[in-house]
Amino acid sequence: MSAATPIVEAHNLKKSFGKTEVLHGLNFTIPPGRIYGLIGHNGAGKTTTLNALLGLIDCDGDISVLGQNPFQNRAQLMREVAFISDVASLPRFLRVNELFDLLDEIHPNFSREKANVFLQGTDLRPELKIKNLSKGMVAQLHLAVVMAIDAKLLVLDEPTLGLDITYRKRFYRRLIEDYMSDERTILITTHQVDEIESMLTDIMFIRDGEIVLDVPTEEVGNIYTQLVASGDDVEKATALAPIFSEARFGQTVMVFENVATEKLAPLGEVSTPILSDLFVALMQRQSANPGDM
Amino acid sequence: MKSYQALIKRELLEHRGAFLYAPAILLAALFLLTVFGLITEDPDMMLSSNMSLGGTQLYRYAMAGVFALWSVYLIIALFFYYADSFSADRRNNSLLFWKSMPQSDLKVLTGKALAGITIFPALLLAFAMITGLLVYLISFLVVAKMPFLPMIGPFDMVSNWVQMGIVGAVFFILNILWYAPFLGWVAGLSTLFQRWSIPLAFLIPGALLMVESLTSLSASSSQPIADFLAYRLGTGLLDDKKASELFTGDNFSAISLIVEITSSVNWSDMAIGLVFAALVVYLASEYRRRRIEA
Repeated sequence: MSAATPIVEAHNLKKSFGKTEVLHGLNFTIPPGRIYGLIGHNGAGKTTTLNALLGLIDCDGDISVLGQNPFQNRAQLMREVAFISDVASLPRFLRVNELFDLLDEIHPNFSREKANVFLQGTDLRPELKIKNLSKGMVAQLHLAVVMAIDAKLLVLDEPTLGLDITYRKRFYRRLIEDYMSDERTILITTHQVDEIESMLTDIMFIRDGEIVLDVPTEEVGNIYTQLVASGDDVEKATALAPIFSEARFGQTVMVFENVATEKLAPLGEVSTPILSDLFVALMQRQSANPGDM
Repeated sequence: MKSYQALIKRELLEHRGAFLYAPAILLAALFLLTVFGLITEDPDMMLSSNMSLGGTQLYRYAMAGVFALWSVYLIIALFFYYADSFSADRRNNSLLFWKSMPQSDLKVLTGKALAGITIFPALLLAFAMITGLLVYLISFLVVAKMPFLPMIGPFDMVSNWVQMGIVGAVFFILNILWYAPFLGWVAGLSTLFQRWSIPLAFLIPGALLMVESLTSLSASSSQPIADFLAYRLGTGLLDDKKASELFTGDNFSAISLIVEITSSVNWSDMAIGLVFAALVVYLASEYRRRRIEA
């Protein structure tokens, strides 16, 4: 973890809607220059967590973004933070060029030139009305807008929803090549985890309002091991207490936590689990945080 | 300041239909219909040939009528504007986008409120002034049909057009400021109930009036709610007799008319109304700050 001042710090973050508590005291720190993936089931508390750190809702506990309380200082914070919480939220009564005109005057860190560059290669034209754009085109426009904002923290909640795979890949490539830098931090949630796995530096799994995993992606392989076993080896591997086991095409896929690779290697093919398998594994167990073990 | 200008411009872009396109269409339609009517039909000789008013006075009356009609349009359009704009971002699903901008909810709503007392009245003032020019053009046709009617000279017309424009601007501003609490009332309801604000803006005071009239059946009973609403719904800016004197006088000047109008304003009541409207904007912004969805 970097010694630099954290971009986000949350201590005992709680949120209730009525009598239902949806965040049960989250603790996490996000340093600069990282790409965090916040992953969880529907209703796990991802969006509530994002809303808390964007200052859209008030919460109990402490949360600080760029050294400020987000709910108290949202407007000021938005100079340094860009986000998409809903790609369909662009004002539909505007044309593309009118939107850029307004952003030029409203947002001090918006660059019209950058936005135009990000729109190159798309079918979007300045004179088009947003209400006449397809869902995918609106998403392209919104992504161009946030990437044209010189922000220290970029928060993307399901940013590629409704986009075809060509544009999704292009967007993520540009995010890494043209946008990401050591001073910037990206926090992203998506259900298409396999598409972003390679770009993430850290992953955070959230389940029922609790963070069950918060590790750098390079450490995943040190903690978790996937074993594909068959025949008698399955029984031997089961004795090593896998946290997840699933039959696939006549073989058994198991995920182990803190079990030495040397013990597993003789029993089958050993590898680091992909994010979606690890996610499924940790969502099914009673307690998934390595710190809890 | 730059961001306020942008926020007001955004309101203009969002509501250009009501404050730009609709008045333009209305004006064009009325002008064309009037011209068409004058060309194709013989006008009823309702106007007496021994009319005592001169062309200048007639033109002033026409301009006063123009401003009265456009001010009615303005107040109605502003009523619907405030009934919509304070909740439009939620209804349009664009609330999260605007919240991603470095502008506070108070600033956004203040921008909406300011648009209603700056750019929109300015636009309708421009339409009123254009109408004044068209009235002059139409007067040529009218006099051609009814030669006994007096006609204002071009220099007099320009002088009166400018002076009436200044008076009209003051009239617009005072009207809006006087009705600000009503506009604030519907804006506050819009924040809470979105489009239900339109019927509720009438139903709630209507219900209160009904309760008041039921609980004060004797003739001697006072009806403070009814009296208050009757007082606030009237502008009371200038009585007709005084206005007639000023319009027909030979020494007409915008300054004297403005002095007369402003001296008829109850400034303390107007200030109370403005404080109420400002309070509504603040409370609405606090409510909006806590909302993230429609």
